[in-house]
Amino acid sequence: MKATIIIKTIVLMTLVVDEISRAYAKHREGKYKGTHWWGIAKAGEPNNLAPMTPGLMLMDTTSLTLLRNKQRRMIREHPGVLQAISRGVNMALQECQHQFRNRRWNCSTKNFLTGKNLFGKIVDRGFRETAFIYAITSAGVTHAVSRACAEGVIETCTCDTTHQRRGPYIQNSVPGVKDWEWGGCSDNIDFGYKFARMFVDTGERGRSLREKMNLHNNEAGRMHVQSEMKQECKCHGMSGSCTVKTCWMRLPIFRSIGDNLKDRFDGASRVMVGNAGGLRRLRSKDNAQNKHYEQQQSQDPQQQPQLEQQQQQQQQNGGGGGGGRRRGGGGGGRNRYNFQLKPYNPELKAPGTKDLVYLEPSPGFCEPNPRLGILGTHGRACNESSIGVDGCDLMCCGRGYKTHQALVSERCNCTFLWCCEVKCSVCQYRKTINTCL
Amino acid sequence: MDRQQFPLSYGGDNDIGDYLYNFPADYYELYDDQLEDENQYYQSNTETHDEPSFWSNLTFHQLCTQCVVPAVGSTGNLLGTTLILCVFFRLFIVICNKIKIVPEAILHTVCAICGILPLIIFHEDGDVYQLLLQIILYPMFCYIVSIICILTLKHHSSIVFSIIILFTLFYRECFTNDSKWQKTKSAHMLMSMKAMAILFDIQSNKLRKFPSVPQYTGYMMCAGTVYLGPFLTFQEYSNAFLFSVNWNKTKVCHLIWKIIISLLCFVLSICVVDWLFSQHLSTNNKSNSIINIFLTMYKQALEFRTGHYFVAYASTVFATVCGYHSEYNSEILVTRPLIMEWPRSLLHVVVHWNAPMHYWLKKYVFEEVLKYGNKNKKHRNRFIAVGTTYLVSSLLHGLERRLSAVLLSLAAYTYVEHQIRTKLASRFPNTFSYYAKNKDSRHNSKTYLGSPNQNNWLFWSINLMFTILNIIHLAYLGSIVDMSVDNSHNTTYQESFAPWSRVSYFSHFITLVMFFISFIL
Repeated sequence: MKATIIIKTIVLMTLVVDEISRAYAKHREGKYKGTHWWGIAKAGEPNNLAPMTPGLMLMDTTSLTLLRNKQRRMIREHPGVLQAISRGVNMALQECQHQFRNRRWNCSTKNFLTGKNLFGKIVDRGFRETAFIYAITSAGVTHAVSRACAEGVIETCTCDTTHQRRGPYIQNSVPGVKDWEWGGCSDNIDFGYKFARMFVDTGERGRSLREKMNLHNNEAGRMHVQSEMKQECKCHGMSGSCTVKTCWMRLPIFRSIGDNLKDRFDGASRVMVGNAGGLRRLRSKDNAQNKHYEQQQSQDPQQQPQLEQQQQQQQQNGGGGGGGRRRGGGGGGRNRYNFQLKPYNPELKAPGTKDLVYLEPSPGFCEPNPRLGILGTHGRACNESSIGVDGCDLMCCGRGYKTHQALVSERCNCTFLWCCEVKCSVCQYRKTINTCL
Repeated sequence: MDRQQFPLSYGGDNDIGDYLYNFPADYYELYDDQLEDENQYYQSNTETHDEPSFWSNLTFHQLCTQCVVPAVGSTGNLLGTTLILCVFFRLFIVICNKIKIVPEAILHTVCAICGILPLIIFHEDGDVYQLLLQIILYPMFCYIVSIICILTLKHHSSIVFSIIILFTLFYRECFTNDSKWQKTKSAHMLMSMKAMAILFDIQSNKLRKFPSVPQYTGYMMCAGTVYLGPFLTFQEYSNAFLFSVNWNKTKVCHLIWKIIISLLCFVLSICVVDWLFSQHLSTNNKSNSIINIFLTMYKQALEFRTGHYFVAYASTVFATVCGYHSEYNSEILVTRPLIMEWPRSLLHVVVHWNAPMHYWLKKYVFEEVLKYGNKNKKHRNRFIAVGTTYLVSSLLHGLERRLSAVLLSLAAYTYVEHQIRTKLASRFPNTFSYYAKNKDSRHNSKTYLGSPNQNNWLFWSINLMFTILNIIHLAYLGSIVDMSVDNSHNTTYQESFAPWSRVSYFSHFITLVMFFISFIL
């Protein structure tokens, strides 16, 4: 009885999905083709469309259909960057699923070829979750491309030479921002940043609020990668002193970026359609941030803002409210990033560069909703004792849960023995698993 | 039951919109508690799992272009400038000796200027004046204090002076935790050693009169040795002005060879060791296996050691070019990498790690302390002298937590090994003799556990056992010395000794066991 119901629902679901995807395919040259590149992450996996031919051929043929012309051209122009993007999206996907493993929406992905969108139709709406997806994928690409650059995988990306000894104007900057001597290859964040900007933001050309939201969130993801760049140094000198110091820049681990973005997700600000189509040019000078922004605007537009200056700004802006935005090198002209979103609640301050923004409140994610590509929490595991979102009460949306016992064996009690061995014993214990009905 | 629940949950199918935007208020408000939990989870997660090395994923060619070449290039500036200044200084001295009209004070001043110029040219933090103040004020401070000590105290002036200087260093280490101190620390250490050496030499009448101000300045900041060492005695420094040094082809070749070794060690320490080991470590994934734990420790220690060889060889080159030399030897050899990498005994390691510094510690601390000892209790005297030597050595390093721990452990290890070897030699006098005087009697150095008949297999195997044990000890000791900048300060006790606690301090326990064995023997 139960089985038939499940089969029925599955058939129904697939029918609905088919219907929608067909309807979607009609205007797939339309709004959200900008996000199809996410499919690169899964392009190596077997699928129905392309026959199983291992190697790069498959990767190229399937992935190129997902891309816009400009993105294809960029991949042609920068050999080796495709693998980096693929790695970046996968990294972002794993991080997203890790961050949301305990929540009702757990960053589930669909078979990307049916709907041509990796994360399903949730990206059609302007939820918080959508904001996070955009930010984390953008961050993933920035991170992976910068890393690939330093590893020398991308042929057109030379090593980052901008971190070498600079002129005296840097030396009077904030104490703590140090100048260093290193002619070598740091993780090339500048290239990664520019590339991600051109590649990721290609689709968001329109003037609608939704596209501005995407642009903002993409930019926020990149800013998080850029501002977390760390300097690593090694010291040489008599007996552990630091006379000869050799430094290089290094990207943060992606987990910390994911953590930060999750923080921003929890504090995301809702933006609304303002008077001028949701976009408000910066004219008011009552806002200190805006003043700062104007100051920056009055600088020579040719001058590339340096990384230190950028970080310095962020420190000044206190992370949350920052209007200073990086310009230059972008794909769609300078003015594309030249907007300020208006908060939904006028008493709150405007979202900063690193904040995530969304347009509409999220649904409950309790029940499956094919229209939004939400799977629902049926059958999800939950934690009986937790009062958080992963607790059974919230996760199952009050539907109740069923409990069953499973025998789990794990390595445990690992100890270091004399000498020299690490011994672990295998513990078998009954684990109670709760699943939502 | 099942059947009833399904319609219930799917009951809303007709009006999806109803619960679709049924925004559960508690859904996002919970985030505060949860975030804290999750943060804890991540912290515990990241502690156990090491970050992959920066250089690990490169091919050899990439490593060359991205690490080796730029690293050599970036330090080449500093070292090259220093070398050129050393050559200039030497030529200046030679010319002045030919002319013989230039007053001596100018020579010393030129020496001092050549010494501090590289520091000024390649200052990092933009604050030249502060750096200059630190470098110039400290010798002045030393000079004034030593004059005061000599004038006021008759017998114990050198000891009082040493205590003052050591506590100044200690104070600096404790209360100025900035990068500038890290940069000038070695310079201050060297100056302190020189200042103390002068006072001890005067007290023992090795030096007739206190050096004049130009002499003192030149000695303190002599060209080439300001920031990398080595320690020079005043005699060695003066020799650069008095005697002409013979230069021939072999000596130049030796110098070039040493420069190459120095740069090689530098590159090894920066990235090649890391790269080589991570190639191996990444292939076998068992991150907890003994081999991997040992290799990680060995890698860390090797990076530290090669870094030290780099500094030592560079300083040897500078000192040789400038012409500092003792009466016996035309060049100052700081370290011997091969003895360090294949340690026949820990005593060898201690002696050859930094020979000039060892000389200083032995002459001005160990032997000085022995002088004050009771003549009837030789063993106790030696014990106290060794203890004081290590204490002073730690104080010279500003009682930095990790270095002091390493030094103290090294003292204990060396003592235990010494005891065991002495006992073995006295127990089996036919098989072993503890000290076998070197045939080259001029050096008067000792080889340990020599055997009357050299081909004895037992002799070889025991020596080999000690060597392997020492390699493990050194890897263990070196693993806590962290050369990265941000980790040198602001770390808790647990963090700084994490590499040791990770292997549950096994090396210390081995030494403890060996200590008991030495009792039984």
